Amino acid sequence: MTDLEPPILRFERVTRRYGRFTALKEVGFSVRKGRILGLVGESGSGKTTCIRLALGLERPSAGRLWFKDQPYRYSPRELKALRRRIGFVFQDPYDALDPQMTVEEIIGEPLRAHGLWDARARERIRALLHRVGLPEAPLGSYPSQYSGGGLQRIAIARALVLDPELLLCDEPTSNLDVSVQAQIINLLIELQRERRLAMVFVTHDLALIRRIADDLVVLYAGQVMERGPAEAITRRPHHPYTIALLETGEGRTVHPGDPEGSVRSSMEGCPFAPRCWKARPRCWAERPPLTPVEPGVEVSCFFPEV
Amino acid sequence: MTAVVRIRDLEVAYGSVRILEGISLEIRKGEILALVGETGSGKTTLAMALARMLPPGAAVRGYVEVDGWAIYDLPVPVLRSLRGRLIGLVPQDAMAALNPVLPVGAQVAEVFQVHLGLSASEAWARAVEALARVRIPRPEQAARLYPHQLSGGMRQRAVLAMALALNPPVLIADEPTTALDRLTQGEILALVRRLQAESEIAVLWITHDMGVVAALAHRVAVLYAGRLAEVGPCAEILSAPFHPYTEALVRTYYDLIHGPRGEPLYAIQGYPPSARDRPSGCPFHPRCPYRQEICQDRFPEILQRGERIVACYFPRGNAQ
Amino acid sequence: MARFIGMRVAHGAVTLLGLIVLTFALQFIIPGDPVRMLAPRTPSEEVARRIRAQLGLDRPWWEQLGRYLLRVAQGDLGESYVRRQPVARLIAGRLPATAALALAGVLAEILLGLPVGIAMALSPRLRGLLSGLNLILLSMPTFVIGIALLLALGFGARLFPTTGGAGLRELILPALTLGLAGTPWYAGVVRDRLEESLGSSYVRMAVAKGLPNRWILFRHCLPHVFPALATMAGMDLGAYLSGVVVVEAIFGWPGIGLLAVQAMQTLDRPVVMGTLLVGGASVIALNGVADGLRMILDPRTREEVG
Repeated sequence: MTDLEPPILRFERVTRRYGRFTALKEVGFSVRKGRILGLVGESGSGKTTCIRLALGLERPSAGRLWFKDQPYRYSPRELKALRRRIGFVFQDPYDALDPQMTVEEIIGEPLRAHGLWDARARERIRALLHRVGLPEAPLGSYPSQYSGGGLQRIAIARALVLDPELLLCDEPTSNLDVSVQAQIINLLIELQRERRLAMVFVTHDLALIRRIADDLVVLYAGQVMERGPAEAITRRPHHPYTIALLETGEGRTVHPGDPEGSVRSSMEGCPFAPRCWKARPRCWAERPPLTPVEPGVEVSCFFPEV
Repeated sequence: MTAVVRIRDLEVAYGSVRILEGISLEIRKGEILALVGETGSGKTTLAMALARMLPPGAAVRGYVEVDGWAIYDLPVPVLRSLRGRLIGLVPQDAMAALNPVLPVGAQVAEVFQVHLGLSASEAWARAVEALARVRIPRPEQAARLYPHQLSGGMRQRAVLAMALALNPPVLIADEPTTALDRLTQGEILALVRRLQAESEIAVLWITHDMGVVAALAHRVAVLYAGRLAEVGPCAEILSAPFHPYTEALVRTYYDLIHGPRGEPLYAIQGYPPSARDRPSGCPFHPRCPYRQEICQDRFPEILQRGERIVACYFPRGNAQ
Repeated sequence: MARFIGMRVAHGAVTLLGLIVLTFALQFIIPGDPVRMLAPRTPSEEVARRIRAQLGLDRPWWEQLGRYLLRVAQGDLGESYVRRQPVARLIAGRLPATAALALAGVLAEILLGLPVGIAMALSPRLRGLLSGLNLILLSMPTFVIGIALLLALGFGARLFPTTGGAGLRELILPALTLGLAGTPWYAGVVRDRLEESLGSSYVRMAVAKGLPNRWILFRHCLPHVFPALATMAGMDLGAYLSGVVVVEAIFGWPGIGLLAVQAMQTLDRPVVMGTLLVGGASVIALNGVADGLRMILDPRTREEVG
């Protein structure tokens, strides 16, 4: 049963500091096999840092990361073994692919890097291209011959070539045209279901999360504001930030807060206080702990909406 | 409502590549017209063409009138002196509009110095007022800051202040909130709505986000592959679109917000064409679920129904 | 900001210390046996030994170094073997003239380079012409420029004095020589920075605001040129303060450079070392000032406020 297996990826009270700046503060969440975790936050929320930590590109200043039942270890050999099981798709398709490499080289690169290139590699690449919706893409073609949507499909093929268990997607459709975004997202979901991947989907679009995610973590200024099942939270958000995100996404007016409120994560209190319409003195002095408000949902707020 | 901007049969080309074709559009006093378009649609070219700021290699045909002035008939010196007073421009990236080595206040003040002949101190005072008008807190201090010292939202407000400094009749905003976080975007939109209600300025707001369109626009113009697909009042376009492309965009948007969990998203197949690879006839036909033979032969005639315009042989809804 | 200055000063002091030690070490390489210089004729063993003891040359090297450091700290650079005067006083005597030429030279470089660079950036027609001119200047060694000026304007047109001296009229030609020699560099930097600025989006926005061209050039574009110009000027000033031998020789300008060369020819070791030290120190000092100036002129280095 899925519930008895350890989660594929787990963040355990992860903190990441750069000098005096705290990018992440005691962030915890887990991603289970076959489930999609939506990581929602704006720029400066720390979501990219989470991805970098998950890929082993950085080490936490405090706390630990777990892959299944193994803690992250940072020797070159362990990292390599780890990265074999993680695929990633990033936001800018034009930046993610080397313009000097052919499609075959791009998708085949992870195979070569892990010494897995064999006689059947080319076949596998062709099959993958077919699966991502580019059945006629010549192996010798170059990224410049593709549009944003096509490039992202190639990036997805590359992410899956090693049959990873975990797929990290950092705003994979934000740079794409609106009429193309849904295509790519549908593709990702299909592949995720087929291969029962654990997936982390980073985005700022809460409406999208409602549609595709199983679980949800809302990040603001490097801290978890709300987490739990995506459906429950999007149906009835509790944290003022989540509420504001949901309302803005649907085109309605946002609750007025202090427009100058900037993100100061070294503060002791709740980082959202400067922009929160509910903020009271307590919010600046103390940091609200994550507390359950309904089954499965935890909120970091002294005055959540219930 | 009077039209402040009149565009008739505008065509913009670079050599043999036609970016825009057959554009006829009006922007009226006191309205926000949302221009919806994706990559390759020519939306930024349209904005630049309005302000006569296209690069030298562009060939422009047609008629563009702003506040009674025929923009392309003006001699260059007259155009120069009108610039800034006729059209306020807000580009997508605020940092692209601001000089990094000058304080923000100076960049707003110089408009007053040059166009109104004010002294440096008078102009500075007006600049501080302009920053206050866009709700920048502590504007006297903010004016002395450099662009990189302000947050993204504050920068965009400063650019807005710069654009509106001389109270131009027209404001052109090219996706100004795309780079901002959602909360800040909401604040900027609310600000624009308020300013517009106060001053009756005509606004051309370029976006690809239907949520922004729903929140902001009075009328909508949909641009696809260099041609206008549809124009009409916002509420009608969102509830009963005529053009299949508009329908697809609207459906995608509503499906995202209201569609059932766990089901695939509604998606249009294919990609928007680049300016060089436009399909024949109606450029949307390869992606159109309702296409017929004639759609790939010739671009459809423009149909008009009351306030609405559509370029399609088989428009949806009750456009028949 | 204060921290930055403090660090730079400390940095400079360490470099200076290194320079002093290096100069000290060099004396074992520089030819010029003090015994032979100071004693009349071929000295006897006794005399030689006494001279060595007097100069402290029979001491272990670290003791000599210590003494040297102490003396330098007190401003005592030793005594010239040839002229029997304190080195420090000899150098100090030359400093005003050296400084005057250095300043005038840098000024000339800026006054010539700036307009040329601006013209090159603004006018495509002039650009070709001025590039050719720059090329000619670049390929002429400084002494050729100097001699050409001396012949044409000194001897030929009789506009300027041709004998040595350190007056204002005597300053013009040597300063002009330095200026012309440096024009291609300064013009190049100005042109590059200006072109970059002219093509930028904020200049396009300035045009959209209806600002006149001259306004845009002076208020928006030139401020981008100054930091680079300040850096170059600072470095040049430092270099010229250590002497410009060629120019001094051609025009008979009584600067440190000539002093240094004469000392080398006469194997006057203390003077050689002294000029090395003073020159090196001025380079270090002025490089630091140039860096500081650049920081002040470029607002991008200021702290973020929010």
